[in-house]
Amino acid sequence: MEVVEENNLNLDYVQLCGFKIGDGFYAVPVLEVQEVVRPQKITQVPMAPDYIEGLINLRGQVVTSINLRTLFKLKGDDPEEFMNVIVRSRGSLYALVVDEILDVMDVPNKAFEETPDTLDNNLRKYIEGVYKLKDKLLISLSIEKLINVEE
Amino acid sequence: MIDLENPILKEFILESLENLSSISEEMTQYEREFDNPSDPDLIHSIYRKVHTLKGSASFLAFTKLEGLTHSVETILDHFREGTLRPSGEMVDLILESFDCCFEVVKKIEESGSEGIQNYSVLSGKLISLLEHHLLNEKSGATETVVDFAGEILEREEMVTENFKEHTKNEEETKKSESSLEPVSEIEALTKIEIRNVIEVEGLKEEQQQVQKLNPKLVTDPTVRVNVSLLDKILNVVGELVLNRNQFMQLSKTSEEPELNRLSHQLNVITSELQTDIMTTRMQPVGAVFNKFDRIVRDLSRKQDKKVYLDIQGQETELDKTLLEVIRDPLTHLIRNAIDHGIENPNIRKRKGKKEDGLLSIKAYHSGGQVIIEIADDGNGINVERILEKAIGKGIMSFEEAEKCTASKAMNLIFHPGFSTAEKVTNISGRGVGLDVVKSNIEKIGGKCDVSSNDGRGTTFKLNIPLTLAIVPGLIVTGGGETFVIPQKNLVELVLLDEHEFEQIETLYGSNFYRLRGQLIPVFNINDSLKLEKDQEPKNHLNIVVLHSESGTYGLIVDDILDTQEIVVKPLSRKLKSGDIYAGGTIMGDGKVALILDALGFFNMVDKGKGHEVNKENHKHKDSDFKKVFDTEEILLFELDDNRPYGIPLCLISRLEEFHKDNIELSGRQSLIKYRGLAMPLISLNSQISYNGKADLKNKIKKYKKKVVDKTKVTTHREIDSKREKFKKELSGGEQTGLLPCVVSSIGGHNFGFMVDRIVDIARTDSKIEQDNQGSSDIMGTAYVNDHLVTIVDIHKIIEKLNLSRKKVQAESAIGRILVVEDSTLYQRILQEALESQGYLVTIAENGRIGLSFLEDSKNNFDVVITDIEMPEMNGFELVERVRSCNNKFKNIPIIAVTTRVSELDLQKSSEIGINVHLQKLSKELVIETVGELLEA
Repeated sequence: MEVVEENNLNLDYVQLCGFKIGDGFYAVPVLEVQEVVRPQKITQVPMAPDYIEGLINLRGQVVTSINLRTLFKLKGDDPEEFMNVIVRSRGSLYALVVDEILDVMDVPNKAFEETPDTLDNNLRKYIEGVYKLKDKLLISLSIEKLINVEE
Repeated sequence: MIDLENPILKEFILESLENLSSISEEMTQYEREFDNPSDPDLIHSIYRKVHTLKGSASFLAFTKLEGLTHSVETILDHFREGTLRPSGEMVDLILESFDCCFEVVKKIEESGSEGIQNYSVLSGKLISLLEHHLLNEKSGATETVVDFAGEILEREEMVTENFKEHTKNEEETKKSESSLEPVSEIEALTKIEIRNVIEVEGLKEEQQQVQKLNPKLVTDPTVRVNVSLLDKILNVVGELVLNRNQFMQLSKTSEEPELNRLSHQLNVITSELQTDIMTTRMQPVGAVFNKFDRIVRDLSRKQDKKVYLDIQGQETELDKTLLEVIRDPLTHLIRNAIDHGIENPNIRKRKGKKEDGLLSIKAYHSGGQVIIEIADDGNGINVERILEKAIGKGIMSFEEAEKCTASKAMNLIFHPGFSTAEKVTNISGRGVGLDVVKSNIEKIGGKCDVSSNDGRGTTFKLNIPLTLAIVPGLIVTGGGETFVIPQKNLVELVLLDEHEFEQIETLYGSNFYRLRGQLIPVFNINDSLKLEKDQEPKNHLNIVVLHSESGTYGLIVDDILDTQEIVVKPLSRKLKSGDIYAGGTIMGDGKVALILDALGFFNMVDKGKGHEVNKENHKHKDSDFKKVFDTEEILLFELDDNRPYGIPLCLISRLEEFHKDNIELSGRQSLIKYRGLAMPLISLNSQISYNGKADLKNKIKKYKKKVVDKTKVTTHREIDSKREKFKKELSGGEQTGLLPCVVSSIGGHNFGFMVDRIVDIARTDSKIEQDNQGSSDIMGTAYVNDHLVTIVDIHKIIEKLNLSRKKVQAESAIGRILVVEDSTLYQRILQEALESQGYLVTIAENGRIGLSFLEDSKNNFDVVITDIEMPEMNGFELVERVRSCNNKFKNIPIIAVTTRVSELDLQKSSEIGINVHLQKLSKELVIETVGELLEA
């Protein structure tokens, strides 16, 4: 609960679900997140792109698990205790594999900035923009782009 | 009287009863809540129902019902418009009308007619009441009513008509209606009147009917349920099935008997529930098929074609949602068949077909699917034209087209933007359609296939799954993962033991397995899907033989576990690109398993392989292919010179052992009674052995030495035991007196060839090298298991010995056949087969010799059978020459017989005028074909 500011019902603020992958801070709109679950039994999907971790069974629903570290071509290994952020897009469920879940944060809209040109190209195509906060840069991901952009 | 079985009538009755069942309640509710309505749309709903009833009644010519509902509708319209307040009397009358409607509909259900009561009195009362109220309201609020009256006159011409219609009644009622008060009285009176009418007039009829009253008419046994509710139930049942599977798995590990009992029970109940739920959604396909009659009729009239529609299997049931999905694709295929397929009557006449084209629609169950076949006997699909068009439209390259198989080419018609119709008609041929048909069918998990005989018709075959959500599947494992293979793709399971591994043949990295003579590609699931392989080599192989639209193939899996009903869960968009998987499912242990898509998987592995093959030299590949197809099984035996000899297995009928005491002599010829006939026995020793007469002692000595050498030769189990027997026989000297003998049927007669020892049956892929230098009794030599084996020509031996008593004579021959064939073996096979049928056979070793025979007008041939690949002049060239020359053989029937028949070969064959192109598989087929050609 680092960035909670007063007047959080104000329209000038947006609620984001933040998470960490490696050293980076990322976020998706909290309304798009269905739930966050611990690692599940996973079934690999042969011949699928490498960032597809596999399929998990979430209470009878088949969820496609996407490893963001692989998708973003980031360095480092997945930690033992990773988390799945479950999101829904166009009728299908996806689990975004992230290192660590931060909190739901209220971020002022005015902190939003367009994607800086310096950002890595692997990442650029999946993001909306960045939120420049006091102590860190929060990268805002677009679920739509994550799921539906062909790489 | 209308046919009670008419589906429209049934539908009408069902719908009307349903509408009427709640309408009275709604009407009363409307009246009750008029000032403070809980549902402002209620009156609209009532109006709609009455309107529907009126519409259907008028459509079906139920005039009484129409009249009644029309009057009610008129009043309701005023309610709806807010121009009239419902009064008690009015509602009474309306409700009474509803009751009457109900009675009429019931009557229709029972007898098919409206009955004999007259409801015009009631209608009249309704109208006059309306009029009265309108007048009444006019006195109260003149302006609005004047406006309103004008409106009525404008909009409701029907009302006035109705007024006239019922003038008489009106007058009657009006007389007693001089004051306002007695309305209810009169109304009550009329009620009684009507009752009386019913009682009196309908009494007789009703009495009769009560007796034969069907119990099902008393209460309606059907309930209308919204399909979306059924969908929901189906989903829940799907979850239940899933849960059951998980539970079953758990109970398997438990020793608790009670738990096992319960789980078994749960299993049974769930299955039953599942089946029942499925049946609730089932509807006969006839509902869709029936309307095709009309379409076919209209279309064929429009195009001046004569089409006879044959519908079969209307009662086959299909899930309602599926039925709706297939309606349009089926319609399209039918339009297509009439538009593109069936020709005009005069063209048909010219082609020797019946003037009436036959269009047949057939539905049947097969392997858990519903198959719908739409076949016409029209023009068929011309593969060549399809390919041309495909190249022209840039759908495929010339090279691709060259390699394209006929079935693949035909499937091109499903390609978007493809239409072979010469001109675009308003019916089909705009190039949109068949692709939509296919994609619609595939969307519901079905398959769409086309097969065609050029000139003889086209058949579209749709495989429709019975339901969408739950399918039976085979559970297999590969690389530690579990996969499900839909049962519909499953052909059979093959288990190979270690010593049978060699049955999988390898060609440039691709594996093939010979399944009862048919060569099918085999893939390993671990390699294809790049899974981690099991470390330990296995002592058996599981091959799952799958059928897909692109062909039959084998899939080697690590393990085959079980068959199970699985609930198909769609995969996310991210995974759809590959089409290798048809979906996912959740297994008993809670893990997700992938469902393999037989077609997608095949396309994936096939593509991968295609790349490799392209790199290879094509000619090389061809000859290699030929090797596989040319493999010959050879019976190996020894004579007293201890050299290996062989006879092609295809020339041998049986292997026998005869006791030497049973051998009799006739002149110098040994004979034995075999199957009731005297069979000549020929000692191959005396015919071809280098040692001449057998020296038994010498033989035993040599044999003992040979046994040691023989360890090199791979042997057949069967022969192994035989060898043991021989060993015993030989060590026991001549005491057993049994002589191994190869029985062969030549020219319709059996001959026994005595050999010293039968060694093995071996397969060789080396060609038999012809050896013209040596003895004429030798067909040639071949390498078998790295040994040079002399192949004996048993036909020549028989010929030489003049034993073939029934040698076909030119005079008695039923037909003369020229066989052009370079392989001595096939010369023999064909000659033997044909001569046994009474044909006179002339052999030519290659196309040039064959041509010279054909150019010689002294010769008489009825049929030519030719190989294609031959030295000097190949079969194609031969045929081209024959067809282009101008002698009497110009139009002789020609059969091409080759080891491998590719689509291109077939195409070429038909182009240059080969009548039939056969594969060198069965001589029976050749004989049959020859017979057919000679008859024709």
